[in-house]
Amino acid sequence: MNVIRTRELSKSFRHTHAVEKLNLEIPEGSIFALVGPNGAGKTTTIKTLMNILRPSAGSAEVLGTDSRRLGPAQFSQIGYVSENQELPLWMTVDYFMSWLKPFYPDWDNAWAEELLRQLDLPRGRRLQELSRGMRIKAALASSLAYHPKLIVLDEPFAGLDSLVRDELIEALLERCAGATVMISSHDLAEIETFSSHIGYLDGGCLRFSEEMTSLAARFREIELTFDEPPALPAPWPQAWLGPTQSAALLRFVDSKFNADSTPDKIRRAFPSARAVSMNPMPLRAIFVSLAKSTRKAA
Amino acid sequence: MRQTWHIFLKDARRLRYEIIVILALTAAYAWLQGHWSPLSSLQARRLNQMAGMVRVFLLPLAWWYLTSQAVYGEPLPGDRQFRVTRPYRWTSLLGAKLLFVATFVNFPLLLADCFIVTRQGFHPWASPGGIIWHQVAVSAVFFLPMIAAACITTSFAQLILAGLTIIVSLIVLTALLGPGGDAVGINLEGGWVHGLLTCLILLSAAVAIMILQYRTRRTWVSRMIFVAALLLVLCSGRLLPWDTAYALQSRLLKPRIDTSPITAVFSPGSGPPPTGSPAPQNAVRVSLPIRLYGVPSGTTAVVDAMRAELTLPDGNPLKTLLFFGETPPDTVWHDMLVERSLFEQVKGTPVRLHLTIRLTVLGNPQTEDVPLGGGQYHVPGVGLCEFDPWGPGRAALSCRTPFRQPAYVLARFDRFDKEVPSEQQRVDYSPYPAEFGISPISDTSWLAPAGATTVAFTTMQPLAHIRRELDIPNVQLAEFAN
Repeated sequence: MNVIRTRELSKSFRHTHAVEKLNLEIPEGSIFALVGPNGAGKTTTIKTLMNILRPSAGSAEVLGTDSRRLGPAQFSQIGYVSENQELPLWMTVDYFMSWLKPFYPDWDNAWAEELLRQLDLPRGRRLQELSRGMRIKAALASSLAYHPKLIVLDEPFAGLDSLVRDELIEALLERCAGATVMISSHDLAEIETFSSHIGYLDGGCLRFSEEMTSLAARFREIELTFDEPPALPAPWPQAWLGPTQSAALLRFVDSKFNADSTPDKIRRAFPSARAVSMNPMPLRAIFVSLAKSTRKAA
Repeated sequence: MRQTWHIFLKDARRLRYEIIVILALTAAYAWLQGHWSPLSSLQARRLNQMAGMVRVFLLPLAWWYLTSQAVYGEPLPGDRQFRVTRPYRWTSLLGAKLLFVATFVNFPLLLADCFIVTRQGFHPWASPGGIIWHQVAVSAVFFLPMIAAACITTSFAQLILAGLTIIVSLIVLTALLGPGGDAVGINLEGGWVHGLLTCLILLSAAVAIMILQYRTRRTWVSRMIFVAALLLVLCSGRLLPWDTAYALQSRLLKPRIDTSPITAVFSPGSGPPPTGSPAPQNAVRVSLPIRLYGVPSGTTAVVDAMRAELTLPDGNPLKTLLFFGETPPDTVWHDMLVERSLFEQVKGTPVRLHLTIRLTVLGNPQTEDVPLGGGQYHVPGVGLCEFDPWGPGRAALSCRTPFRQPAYVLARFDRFDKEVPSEQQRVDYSPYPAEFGISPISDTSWLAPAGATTVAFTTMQPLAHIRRELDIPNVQLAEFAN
């Protein structure tokens, strides 16, 4: 079952198409990372899913409800934390938690206490006196204390130091068992460590959305060594991204790597290659090559 | 309801200092207004000035601030508010804000009303309709539009900026559009209909904005509604011409008397017209005498307004609209100012005259004689009256009453040195048990002529508002020029 599903979802601001015909499915229990460069439409997508913005076209379902009809019943099962959320800064951490408690039938007092303790939040201090990282932690604690079925995090790590980031990720992983998590982030290195699914958004369009394991498996950095400069195959395969060539070295990224067929395909394309290496890529390298190739194509 | 209460308590906690200030200001207002005096002594004048300052400036500003701050606890415009993805019920949120205003603005004002009315010599529960209506009216005209304005802004600074922009725009628009048609002034008879229209526009817009914003947060649509409402208020004079306003007033008052015998007759044989202000040099004053017949005994017919339409020989109409509201003398004179060149052209030629006359039939007269002197007099139906001689040959008679003055009061001052008494009258045909305004005391001042020894107050009730048409085919203007 999919907790989030969009059909041709689009959102425009006057003449700017922030999100275009987005078809996205996020399965229950997954940790879905929505990544992409700045201005890709990640925040707009999330705001549209959360009924903060109304879609210009298409539709989205969240927890089985049309996103435009999300109301108190659904929001009592959703935890939403955003980097640019405006919190009631005059409240102390303690009052903030006790203020929110009556809104949620499933609020877990012991769990809330535990969250405050583990996230090391100063209970008596006002939110306005807290650092940005601490405020995010307070927002996260307030969003986890009722065991939400869906946790949506919009750039929660932006601008945070690595220690706070680690604490947040740890809190998220330890305390969200069973929940579906949707997270948008620039921090690919962190995302890689805990996401089960990933979607890549660029220019408002979803380039792909798949399981992390399959993504890691289908991307390889290919490096070929030659005795003399090789002739490049024409036409150049679309799945081979960002070729760079020096006198005796050719590098590119294969976005459709298959352990059975790719070695043969390379040998056929470059019969003069003296050595071939096919290396797994970190997520960051995959997205850099994707972003470069998209910009080049544009 | 639990959520409403929860949000209300949070707002009360957050704005506790502001609430203390508002309560202190309301208490100060109640004390000052409670000690308000019509007398012209220096101390009374100072006290009245302070009461006026608190009532007109400080209290409305403080209400505005507190109301806005309550709404800004959960701002509505924008998409960054943390609450939009929390399980708030919009009805609870709106209910909490209304409850907040009712508790910290309306209720203290209600207590202040009771204190002021009691302090001014009346019993607050003698007019329960007045007390309730006063709260309803103040809420409709002040508080709900204040909440609506806060619903479409994000901060008090933005609200003030928007307010200033609106004021400047209204001034420019008024200058461009000119006066609002033949609108009846709010203080004239029938003017209350325009007041009602203005209130209904403001109230409808405020309710629509609140529901729209709290339910769907369609800020731009709400802002458009707000601007449209202001434009409608500005143009209400054009939207509701005087004749429609009077027609509406007639419909709202069910006639309690047979008015069919009442006729209006053009009476060329009447004596000379009363001396009026001289006509401008390029115009001629034409006074048309009208008499009323068939007025039932025990009642009086008052001409509220009259429109004359002259059809000139070239077929062009010349329209004049006049408002009267005077005690009916034998003859009512419709004064027209006709351009001198035009008058010279048509003065000897018979022209067609059509008159539309709006009348109010008054009945159930009650008269009370009051000697003018020191002390206070309780005049039934008029209120508590106090005589204040504030200079040689000059004196004022001030009467105050809770919530509203009677529909019609005629004050007739008898003078030992003159045979003809001096008469002044006040008219307010509005059907409401309270007038619009912050103070629960309605005050009327009468200028007592020199030498006056007694005043006879006559109060009457409106029994019917009627309209009469009068068509006169041949009138020679030269006969009525003066």
